Amino acid sequence: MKHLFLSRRFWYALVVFVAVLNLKAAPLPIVFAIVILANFYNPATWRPLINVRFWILIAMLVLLAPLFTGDLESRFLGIPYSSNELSKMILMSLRGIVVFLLFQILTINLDSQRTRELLLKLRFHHVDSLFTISKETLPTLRSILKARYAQIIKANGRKIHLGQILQFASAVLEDIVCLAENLSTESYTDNSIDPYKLVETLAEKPTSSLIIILGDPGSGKSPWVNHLVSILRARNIEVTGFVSHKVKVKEEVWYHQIENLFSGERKSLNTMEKIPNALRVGKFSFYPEVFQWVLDGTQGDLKANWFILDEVGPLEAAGEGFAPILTLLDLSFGGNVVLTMRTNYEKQLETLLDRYPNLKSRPRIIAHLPSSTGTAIQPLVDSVICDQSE
Amino acid sequence: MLTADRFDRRSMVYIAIFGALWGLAEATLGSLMHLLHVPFSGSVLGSIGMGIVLIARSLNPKRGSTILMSLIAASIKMLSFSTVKLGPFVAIVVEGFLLEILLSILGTGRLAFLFSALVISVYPILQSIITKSILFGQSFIPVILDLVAGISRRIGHHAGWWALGLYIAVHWLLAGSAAVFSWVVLKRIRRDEDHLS
Repeated sequence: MKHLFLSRRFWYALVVFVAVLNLKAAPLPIVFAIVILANFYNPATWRPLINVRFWILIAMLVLLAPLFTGDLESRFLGIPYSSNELSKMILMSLRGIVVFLLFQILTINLDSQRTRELLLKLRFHHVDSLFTISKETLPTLRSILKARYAQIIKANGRKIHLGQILQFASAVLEDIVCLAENLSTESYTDNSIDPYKLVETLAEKPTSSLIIILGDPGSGKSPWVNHLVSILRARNIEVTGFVSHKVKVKEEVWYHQIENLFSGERKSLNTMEKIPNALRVGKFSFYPEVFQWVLDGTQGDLKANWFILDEVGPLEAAGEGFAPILTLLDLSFGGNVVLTMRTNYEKQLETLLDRYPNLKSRPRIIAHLPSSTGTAIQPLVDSVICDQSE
Repeated sequence: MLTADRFDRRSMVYIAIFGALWGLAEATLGSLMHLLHVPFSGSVLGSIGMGIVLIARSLNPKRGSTILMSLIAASIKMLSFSTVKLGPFVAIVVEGFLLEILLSILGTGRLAFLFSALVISVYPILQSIITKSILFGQSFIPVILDLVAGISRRIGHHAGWWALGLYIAVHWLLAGSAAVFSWVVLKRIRRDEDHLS
């Protein structure tokens, strides 16, 4: 609550709200001032005002209502109109502009990340894993749409009529049902593990375990972790830790963000640019301060039932990176610990665990995520068109 | 609340995929229609969303799934937003909420498709009335009704009321077509499934 009152957005919105209440005092100067104020807050807030669509209704109100309603006591170019209605409509339109800017100021910074955090706070636990699955399937959905569109164009040329649109939509929906069924029946391989089964198995065990999830890049380690988190949260089992998210900047350029599962806060973990004196693994330089941030976050979350640490690897085996966090977990954490690693670092696992004898002595579960299918849902781009002959 | 045990793997996949499809339609078609200033774009998108929901809910009849689908669709739509954010997000989530109530009560039979079309045809009008009343004030509706009556009086032949009726009829037509279309597609999918099994 304190944060809300300190925010710049709150004060801007309050000023605009007061302006709405006092608009009648000096309509035009107030609107002018509010547009300038909105521009100071964020120029994007007033950009929709330059869209023609925004003015259609206002034009209708201002031009038509005085001609067809009220007492037509005035004339303009011989056309009778109601000056009283005209004044009312102008005021109404100006109010519309100011209220619109008020909502723009309140919502312009809304994005999918903030929405996701809000939904998690509202206990929509599934949203995380569902959103991950959806994002993974979006390229496949696009492929279906493109492939079916190409089929229609090939068969009929550019002259498309309603029947073909219906045929296209029908084929696309059938493909998507086919895709959903394929992915629904996709099973975990023998040596991988279903997050549901894992939670159920460990619920029956008296001692805490160490779970190692191994997989190649793109095998679905992060979706697997997200899925596990949503299952644990839905069962009111306290889970915390840090998971990483790949963020694409442009073609062949990306970085990772690390998210605190407890607070939902995210920070950039690395960059493909070179940072002087920073740890460097492969193409990435790691921001040194982020490791301290993770350590601080871990110290506050040691009472949870589960702790997840995503993307542990050679840095930690060499005593760097997240090594202090692993030490803290080794000494002070009593719950289940989940670590994800790339498959090619598997040989370093024992070297890594030698540093953490308490974690090493726990019952251990090692799961390999198959490289082609992943856990949650990996796109099956080549097999989604159910019937190529259509 | 929506518990994990309610949704098995198949349900989760259906919700995620059809939610993504709905979001993709909103983001791509919605942006295109907005760019081209296509009239009734809200109703067209609402009808497409309803068609997707009806098919998904029929194949995955789990309570709560439609709300989750709408949240996924709204989040995907949010990725494509330029500057106006709240309106489209609320529109998608409220549509999902209305359909969830309807489909939870009526199931997924012909009656549910019919009532969904009725509700979704009225919903954009209602949404527009509420949004415009918030923007322009409480007198917005009386002004529009006065305008309709005034046009009818001046032009004659109840022209204003015909125009208003036409506006509502287009909405009904769009939603009705989407419901019929999704019914036909659903039957086709089921027929194919039977044929394969």
